[in-house]
Amino acid sequence: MELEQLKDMWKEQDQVSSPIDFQPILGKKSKSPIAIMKRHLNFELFFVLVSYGLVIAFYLIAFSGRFAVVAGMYIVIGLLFCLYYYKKYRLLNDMECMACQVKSNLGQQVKTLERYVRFYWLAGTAILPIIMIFFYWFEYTFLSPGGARIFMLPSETVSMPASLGNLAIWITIATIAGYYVNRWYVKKLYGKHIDKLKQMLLQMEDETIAS
Amino acid sequence: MHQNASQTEFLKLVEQHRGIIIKICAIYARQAEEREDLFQEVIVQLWKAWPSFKGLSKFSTWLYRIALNTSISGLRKKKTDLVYMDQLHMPESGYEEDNTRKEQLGALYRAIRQLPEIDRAVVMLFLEDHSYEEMEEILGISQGALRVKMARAKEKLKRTIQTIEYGA
Repeated sequence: MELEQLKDMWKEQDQVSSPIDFQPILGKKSKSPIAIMKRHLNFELFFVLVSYGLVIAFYLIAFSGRFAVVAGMYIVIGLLFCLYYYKKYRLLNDMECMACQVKSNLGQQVKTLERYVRFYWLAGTAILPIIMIFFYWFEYTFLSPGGARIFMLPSETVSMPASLGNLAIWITIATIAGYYVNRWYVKKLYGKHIDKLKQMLLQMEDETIAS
Repeated sequence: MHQNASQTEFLKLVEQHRGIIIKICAIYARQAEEREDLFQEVIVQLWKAWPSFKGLSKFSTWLYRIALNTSISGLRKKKTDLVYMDQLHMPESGYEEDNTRKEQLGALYRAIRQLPEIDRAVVMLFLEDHSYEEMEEILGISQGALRVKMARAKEKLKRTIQTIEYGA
């Protein structure tokens, strides 16, 4: 059967059947990938604010305020997280233009999603060295010598350059491992979706070149 | 006018154009549950975007863009391919004729769903009798490229429908 002949049959489907009640649908939450990503990000922010708030309160109250500086560090990390949240949320807002032409919307999604993923990946990689430096500084400044330590701190037998060299080695190992683990993780989370979007964009672009 | 348009006006317009939404959902979602989810998602996206509808383009153009963008970029594929015909309204006619039409329409839907995502949109707009100019306005693909795509899609569809009809 020719496609032209099927046109009439296709249009006959438009004849009105029973009405649909759209009203209850209007109040529903979107299930689009971007809406889900936004909800996850908001949950992440909520979780960080609550858990960090408790930790900060604990360090301010416990140990007679001796470790208040730890609370300060958590406040700094919390503020960094807020910046991270803001950047990610802005990228998600820029990610789609539903009323735009399909090609332009797809292009915008691919471009913004790649920026989002790169940011996620780099932020995830950077967090480990920052935490390690913080713990090194914390052990060096606040813990009395002789106890259990994560890092090799300067002492009678270990010089400062040796201690910093040791820290640098661990940071390098952690950064390299974090780089690859994060790359694998973001690819697992978004890789297929990005590939699918790119493939559809290509479907639109290669024909343009062909014409 | 459209900036302050009421929910009633929105619902009225959506009701008038619901056939388009149902057909788009049918070409992008295979199972009834997926189609239902997609249908609701399209309505949610339309309602979200409604305050920004300025009336610069036709309502149907705006609706096509949102429905296609929602269906294309939010695809969740399932492996099984169930043929659904239950929600598609067929014109009143003799029982046998009705069944034949349903079968032909079913074959057409199955054939369209075997096309790449973008080609499905092009074919649907063609079946809805849209000009290449209108298709370009909705999809953002040049008219020349659309003609190339349509010619290829017609060939593919013809072959697929024949295969389905003759059970090859």
